[in-house]
Amino acid sequence: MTTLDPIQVFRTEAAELFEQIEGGLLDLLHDLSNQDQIDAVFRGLHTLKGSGAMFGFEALAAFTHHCETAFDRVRKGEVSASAELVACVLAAQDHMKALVDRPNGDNAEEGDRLLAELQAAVGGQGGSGTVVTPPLAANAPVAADTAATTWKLSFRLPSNAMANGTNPLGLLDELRELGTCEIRADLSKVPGLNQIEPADLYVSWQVTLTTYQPRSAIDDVFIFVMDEMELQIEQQSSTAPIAGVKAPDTPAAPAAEKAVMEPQARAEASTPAVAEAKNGKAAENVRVPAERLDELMDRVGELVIAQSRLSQLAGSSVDIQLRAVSEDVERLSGELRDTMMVLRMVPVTQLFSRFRRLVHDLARETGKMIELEFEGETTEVDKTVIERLADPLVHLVRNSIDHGLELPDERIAAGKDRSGRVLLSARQSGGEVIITIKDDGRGINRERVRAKAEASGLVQPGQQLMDQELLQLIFQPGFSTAAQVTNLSGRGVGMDVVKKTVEALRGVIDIRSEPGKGSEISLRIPLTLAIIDGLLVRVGSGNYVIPLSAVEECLELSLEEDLRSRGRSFISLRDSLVPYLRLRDLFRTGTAPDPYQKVVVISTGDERIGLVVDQIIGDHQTVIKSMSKLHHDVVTFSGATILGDGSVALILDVIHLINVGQQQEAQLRAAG
Amino acid sequence: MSDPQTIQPHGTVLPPSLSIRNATTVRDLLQAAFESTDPVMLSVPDDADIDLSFLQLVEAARRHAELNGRAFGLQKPAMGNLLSTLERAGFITAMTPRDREFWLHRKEQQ
Repeated sequence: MTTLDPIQVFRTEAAELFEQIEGGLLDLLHDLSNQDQIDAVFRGLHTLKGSGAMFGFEALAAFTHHCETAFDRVRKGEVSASAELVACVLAAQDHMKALVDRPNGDNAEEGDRLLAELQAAVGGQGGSGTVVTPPLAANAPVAADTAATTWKLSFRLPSNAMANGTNPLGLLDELRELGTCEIRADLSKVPGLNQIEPADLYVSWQVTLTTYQPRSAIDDVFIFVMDEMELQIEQQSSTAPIAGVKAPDTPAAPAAEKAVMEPQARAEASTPAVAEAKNGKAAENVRVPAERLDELMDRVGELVIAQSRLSQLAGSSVDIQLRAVSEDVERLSGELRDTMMVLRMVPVTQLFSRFRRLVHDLARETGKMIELEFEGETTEVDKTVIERLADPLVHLVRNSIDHGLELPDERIAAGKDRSGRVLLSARQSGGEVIITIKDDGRGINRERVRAKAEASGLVQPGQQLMDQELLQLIFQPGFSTAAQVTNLSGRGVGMDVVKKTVEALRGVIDIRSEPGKGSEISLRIPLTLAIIDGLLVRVGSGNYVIPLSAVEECLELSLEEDLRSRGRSFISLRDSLVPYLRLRDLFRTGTAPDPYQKVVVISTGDERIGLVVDQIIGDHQTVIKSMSKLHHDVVTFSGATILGDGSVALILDVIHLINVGQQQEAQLRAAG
Repeated sequence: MSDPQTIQPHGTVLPPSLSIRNATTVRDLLQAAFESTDPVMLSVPDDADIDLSFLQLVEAARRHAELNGRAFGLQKPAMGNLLSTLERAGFITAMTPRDREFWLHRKEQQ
């Protein structure tokens, strides 16, 4: 029997709640009076507090309680939301995250400082204009009826309610606070000891409640779990005031609000952990640890290799039944691979959404006005790509804002809007995803780039460089200087590291920049890293794989044409000269060339070269295996794969080969 | 069959944390007790941290005992946190005479 660790479950839930809270706070900045967003943030904080207390994160619960109380005041209209309050709660959220990661961490001073700021932000220090008029009577809770009403409630919480942080006893306590209650537990669904999942909930309840509170007060008790629970409420009767049930003097506050208003006391308050994002679809989704997906991917990879061997055996056999089975296995493994790929794909919005907070913080730090826009957030990319792209993108966005965007006054002087614009976009193009970071700032100063490059010896004074070559210099190691690094962009990840990370993902970086108008950096990354479609070729006696996504076309290179090139190694392709590399020479095969060699034209972005091979064998589903540590320094190959006959084929590093080809072209041009 | 009136000198002493944080451990402990002792008598600390998950586990253990013809009970009637949790959870209201005998050690005239 597999049982999830409740603490880990809470940490996962907390991560979702943090996303919900942060998203709500950042959305709130666009419209500080948006009641839906205020409610969403409040609910997130409330749930976090309750769940934290439930799972023993007392420090988190106590700290979150203060933030929740502050937002409760906003919710009730006692205080208006402000950018300062949002900034305070965002900072407080970072502290909450630390308390989730390190429940016993010694950071009470930081907590106290943040709470003092929070207090000031909600008007404790008389912040200008933060106090607003009380809510209109029409918006106030409905006054209690003069007659008590008896309600029959029957409810069953979702089975994972306790594991998700809901404390059923807290809900029952809240019902008791509404009036006189008779609560009967129904234990009929409790299984035997060997069948029970200790964290699951099996008990349901029937409640007879006599109260002066309106029906809405009962609904409020279940407000956080309403979407996922079974709840029946029937009105039994309305009666005159009855003994033992005190008619309230003041309008009723919903029970959920009461829990908030009681300071500290409700460490075990109702603790629903229902993220709104679930929208009642929880039962349709299964949460699977990422490493299990990786394991499954490995197995599928092995299956593809085994299937490849089977196909080869079947191909050389006369047994028709074996061939039929082989074809079935090939089809099924292909379908399995495609299904597996889909499982690993996650929308790029998961990557983009974290930049909202980053941009918010940077805007406050730099005094710049920034509008962050997204395009193509639903584009899906392999989860590993998403994980590995996070840091490089953070650096690129920081650079855009730090070095690219101007201060508001500078922008006005340049005839631009006060607010700078940063666009993060993603789109799929064939087997690649193209992620672009575009800003409308001052653009890259080419004179400064050249001066720094010359000063650091990256280029010789006066050396002729094409514009793209000049711009690519910013990705050279050591290009950044201490004078250029600020506390924003100088956090240890240089542009060279960004480039290396992208290239490790078999991606490329394109850069465009127009002085005074802005810059655009595009990352072209393969959609997936685990299995690729490749073109299997033979060079000498060895087989090699060229990623199919990079292949533009294949041509024949006759012996005469090869001789005619006289070492210039250019092929004329529709009125343009394309340099080519003879892989036979590059790999020193020591074999004679085939009479009819082939040129495989490959490209990344605008750059393309031809690769001369002896034979094109055909397409090949390639399970990528990493090179061993012994081959760590080998740059021509990005990995290896196992062919159907058990032999190994090296996978060509397209980016490296294109760079070699371009350098060769530049040398030949320089030589005249 | 359970016979809570048969007080054993050494019951299965439960840890002070009997909440969901510890629910799996408690379940394992109960299973181990059924494998190693007969009758199984639980000793619940008066000041134990108890929530609904523990009540469910004890109910599950009662079903297990009943099904397997094993004796199972509490060393002493519910009191302190255990009693208040039973009340909060609505168990007391719903108790049958047999439940009362098990949890509260109250034998009632049928």
